[in-house]
Amino acid sequence: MKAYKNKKIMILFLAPVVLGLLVFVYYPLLQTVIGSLYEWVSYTPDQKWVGLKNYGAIFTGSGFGRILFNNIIYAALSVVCQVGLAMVLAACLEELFMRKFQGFFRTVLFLPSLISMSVIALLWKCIFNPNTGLLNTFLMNIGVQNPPTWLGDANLAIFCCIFISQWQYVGYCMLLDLIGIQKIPQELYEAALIDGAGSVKKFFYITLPMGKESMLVTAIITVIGSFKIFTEIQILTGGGPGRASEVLATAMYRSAFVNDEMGVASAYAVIIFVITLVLSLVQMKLSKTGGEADV
Amino acid sequence: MKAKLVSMMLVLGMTAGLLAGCGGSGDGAADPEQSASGQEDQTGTDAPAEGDGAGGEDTGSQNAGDGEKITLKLFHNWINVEETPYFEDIAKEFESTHENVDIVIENVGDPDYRSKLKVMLGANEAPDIFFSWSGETAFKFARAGSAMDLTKYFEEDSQWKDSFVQASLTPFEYDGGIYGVPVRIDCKMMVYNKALFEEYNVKVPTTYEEFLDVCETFKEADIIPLALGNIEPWASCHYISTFNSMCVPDEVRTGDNNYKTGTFTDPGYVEALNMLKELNDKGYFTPNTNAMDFDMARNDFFIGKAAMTYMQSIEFKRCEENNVDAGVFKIPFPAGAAGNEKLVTGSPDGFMISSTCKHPEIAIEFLKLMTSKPWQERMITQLSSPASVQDVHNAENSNDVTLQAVEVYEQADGFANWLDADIHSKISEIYVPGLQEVIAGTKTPEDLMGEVQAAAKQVQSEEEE
Repeated sequence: MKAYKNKKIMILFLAPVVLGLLVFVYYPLLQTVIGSLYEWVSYTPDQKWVGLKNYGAIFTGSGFGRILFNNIIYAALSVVCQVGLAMVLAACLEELFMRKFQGFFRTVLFLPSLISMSVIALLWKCIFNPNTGLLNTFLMNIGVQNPPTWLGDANLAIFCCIFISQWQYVGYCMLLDLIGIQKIPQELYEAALIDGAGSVKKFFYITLPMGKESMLVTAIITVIGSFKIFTEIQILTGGGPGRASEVLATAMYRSAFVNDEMGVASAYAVIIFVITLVLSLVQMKLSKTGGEADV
Repeated sequence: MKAKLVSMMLVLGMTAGLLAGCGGSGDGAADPEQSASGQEDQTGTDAPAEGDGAGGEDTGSQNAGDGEKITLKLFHNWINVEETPYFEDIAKEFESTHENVDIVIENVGDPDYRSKLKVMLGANEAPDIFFSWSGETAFKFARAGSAMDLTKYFEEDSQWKDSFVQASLTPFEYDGGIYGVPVRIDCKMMVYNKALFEEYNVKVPTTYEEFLDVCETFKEADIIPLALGNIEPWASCHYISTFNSMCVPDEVRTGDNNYKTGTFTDPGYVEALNMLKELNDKGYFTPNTNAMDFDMARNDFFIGKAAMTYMQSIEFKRCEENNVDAGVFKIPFPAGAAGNEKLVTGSPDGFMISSTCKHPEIAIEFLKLMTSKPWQERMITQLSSPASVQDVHNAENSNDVTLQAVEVYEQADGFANWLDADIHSKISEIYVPGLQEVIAGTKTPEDLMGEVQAAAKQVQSEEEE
């Protein structure tokens, strides 16, 4: 028992992870922040101090508004689907008459999240193909005259990308919510049933308030994830057409490896970091004040 | 208070960890280090290591002592099934005549190659010999001092220098020096399906009007005239590279390609964009080209759903593989255009030697072996990449399509390099994606060129600082 109070042993046990964090997380983070204040390319050691110019270039750049819009709409729709829709799905599966099939739907809805995003993106690229793809072939067969070109349409491209990640992750979030719901004491539902509450009322007055915690967790994950999306955009559109579906991470990649502006790329990385940090702080704060409802 | 601090640190760590994780997961493009390690390929480790002293074949230029083992690191991006062994075999032959030399080969595919190369040149593990495209891509390395000026080696051995297709050296020339050894030539030609041309009774066009007529004929017959998948805009960028060389006077265009003098104000650039737009608006490209995958559109040509496609010579063998009887022609020059008719769109690819290479004379010898006739011949038969050395191609070792292309580029004045490889990356960042918008009609050619001019100005003012 004494061991728990021995400071030296505490330090000894904490040291590896703290060291690991310092070397692999905080040090690169610091390097990135410093790097964002210089102008440099990856293949020469020369660095030129430019102060906040890299940030200025990003904020005044013509595409930045679009980039931010894309990330925000991505986050907003992800929250609606992965937090809202996932909760509704979870509640449906928990309904008495659905219990029999729950295992089946749980597996089916969860499966997409096990597949690599690259594979899914390539798969959907074929489905979205405007001339031979599954989607437009179907639309033309039911009589749609001029079906959209999906990924080739500047206004639709980003929504196609958003749709795909919702398709992939709704099942995953649903599973998290399902676990949250199963933690809710059954007596509450039984009492509500006796009082004459229907499924909808039970959902709004019991499931939602009691499942708040798990919803907050999924909200944090999805919002932070939305500001880091890269794979699906890079594979599906590469940020195109034009710059219509560019997001922060693809802009960062482009600056680093296409334009050879590591300083600007570092600045993008810092911007992504600050946004995700602020969002997680806000959400942590919210979850603290809410607290887990006592029963 | 303390707890708060600790939790703050934890949150910081969590998000930073997520951020760091973002680079590694999912797409390999973000993590070149990882994708390369799987393909790392060390040849020559089992090469005969004994051998008493350097043999008589070893040239005097070898300054290393007999006992010293020299390791040369070669880094390239030719990762196809047939390509990798080609390099291993050259390395083996080279090692058999240079017993104290060990060639270590590393390779990784595109587009990871570019990013990994840049990282390697920055770190202390720069490869001695590395593949590079020509034009601005190569100039960048020359400018940064990462690549070695090879002029003196070319001067020393004029026979070697003269063996090249002379136009292939120019795109490696920067500031009076030659920085790369061209190994293969990649040029863009219009490839057509002979059977379809016969069926619809059309001839290879000799004027631009005829070219448009040919397209119209196929369009009316419900065959895609020009297969093009432009979801990644470099595809249409290749068309613009050609059209720019047709519409813009040569010296103006080369002046613009140099970011120090570039203005892009010539009206020819707008004309070129209009030519591209015309082809799309008349319905000659694959429908919805901006949403079409490059390879999917290309396959339309191979299965006979499209009559023509603009193809790089390094892809020509795919016609044979897909049993398409194909012919090639250069897109005819529009009458009265201001550019140079005798340019071929394309560029030589080659190898550069990094400035940190300790034994450049041995690296040069290796490249001489690679550009010797037997190995160039093997390259064209085995890899069907057109050679950068003259008089290698003949009816036995090359297919018809390649021979026709070789004939065209051997008569050419020079190359009109790929636009995206030839102009400053900050200008191509505006120019190339803008092509999609011009095709979609959401941006006019004039507007796009206006943006390009602004970008060119900005690049200049930044460089002057």
